[in-house]
Amino acid sequence: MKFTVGVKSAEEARYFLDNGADELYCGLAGLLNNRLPRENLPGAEAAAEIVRLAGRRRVFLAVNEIVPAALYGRALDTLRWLGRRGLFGVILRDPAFLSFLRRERFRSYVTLSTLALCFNRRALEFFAELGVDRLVLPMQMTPENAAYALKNRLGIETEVFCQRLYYGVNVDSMCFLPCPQTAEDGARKFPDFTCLLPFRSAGGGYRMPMPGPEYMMNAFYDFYHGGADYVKVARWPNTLRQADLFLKVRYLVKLLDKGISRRLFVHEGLKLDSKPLEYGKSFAYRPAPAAGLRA
Amino acid sequence: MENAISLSVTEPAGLKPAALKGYDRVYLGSEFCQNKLPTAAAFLKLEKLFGGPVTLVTPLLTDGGLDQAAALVKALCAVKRRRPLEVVVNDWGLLRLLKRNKAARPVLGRLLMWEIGEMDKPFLNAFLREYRAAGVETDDPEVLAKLKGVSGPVHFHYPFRFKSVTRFCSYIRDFNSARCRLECGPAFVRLSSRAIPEPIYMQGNAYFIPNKPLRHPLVKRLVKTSVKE
Repeated sequence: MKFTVGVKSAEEARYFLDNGADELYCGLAGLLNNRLPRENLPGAEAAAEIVRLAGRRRVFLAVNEIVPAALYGRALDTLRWLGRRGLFGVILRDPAFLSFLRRERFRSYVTLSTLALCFNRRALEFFAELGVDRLVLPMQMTPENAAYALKNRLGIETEVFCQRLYYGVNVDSMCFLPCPQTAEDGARKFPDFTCLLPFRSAGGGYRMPMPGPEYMMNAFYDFYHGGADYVKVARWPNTLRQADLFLKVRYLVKLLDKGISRRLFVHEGLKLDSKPLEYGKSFAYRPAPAAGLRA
Repeated sequence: MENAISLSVTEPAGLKPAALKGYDRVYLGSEFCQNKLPTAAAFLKLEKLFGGPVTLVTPLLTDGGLDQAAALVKALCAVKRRRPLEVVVNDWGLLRLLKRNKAARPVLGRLLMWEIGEMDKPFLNAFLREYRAAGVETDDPEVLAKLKGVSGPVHFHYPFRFKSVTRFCSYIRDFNSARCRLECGPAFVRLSSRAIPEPIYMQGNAYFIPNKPLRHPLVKRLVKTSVKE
């Protein structure tokens, strides 16, 4: 299982490349993707710099939102410009934009974003016809649900999250509740993650549910042994938090590479301080300088 | 303007024809949970009771749910109708399966419309033609505004606007690919918190806010969700 890591600066790229990232991805300001604007690079030149730093390792650009038609031309120009500089692939979600790229004979490795609603074998065929080379499995897909995707005969690679360390309470692309990541009221972001709030109801207190840590550890074990090709460590506003996640995922994969039993793996994983429910608190924008990362 | 009422899978039992009076169409199923697909027998019984068109409503589907939905569509299409069976589709895989089924016509549901609404309109219209879509659905004025130029009719849902969905069910504490006994029922549960200005409502595995019917030149059908407190 290889490591795909999101970065928001050249400093982060250096750090993750030095520490075992097999490939990187990034986003550009002005080219829609599913992260805070500040988590994007300022321009294509900055992405080209990351491609240069990565050398022979692959770099992807995330354009994983629905792309308005007015942006098609500019997006294609940027992708072609970066392609000439060694960009390996693009992370997409929008069937219309995928079709546009095919019509324009733009050739690149295409990763289908976890945000695409691809939960079954026919949906995978739908996207395979649009030229997808890899599927990032939605977080709310269990290993049993993903059995076909993991063993597909369409030549599509698969990428997963380590759910114990990164989990979305609701279906990622189908959540329109206010949160710091998406809700905007002018320049103001909503301060809380609605999905993490304690609610009151006539029946008593309520929290939006998520599976327990044991399920998540077992799921990662099953995805690994089911043949998932990549594990993704997503971009994060707080660099040190992301580095911490990365090192923990790397540790878990190392255990799996050594052939650890399921029971021991779950036992070891449960000892990790993961607290996915704290992702709300860790969402403050704190880019760390290179020196900080090395420390 | 066509008026439709959307029923949860548990509601047709004991339903009186008078409850459907004034509606041109009935929806049955769920846009959000694959455990809430009706049986073919329940669907056909409702068609008979109503005496008018009934639309099958389907959600996002895993492989198991897709098999179940495909078998249901097959059983329903085996019955002769004057017009093709209308199926609200919220899953790319089911949409692909229906492409060559002349006995059924898809309507692109609220979830897919978040994916589709913003698309380049010539592409979207060609896409709707290719998949023989009978219409598209939304509950959001923002999506509706983006649909200017769409070639088919738009159906608008009320009195709730969809805000979020999970596959991990709070009633069974498991993913909804596991079997359940429909413990959630049809009720909308009010959830409030000091941190948000207005309450949200939970029905099964989905969350909503209140919504009003919208009159708009593109809207040709209003779909009212039957609400049980």
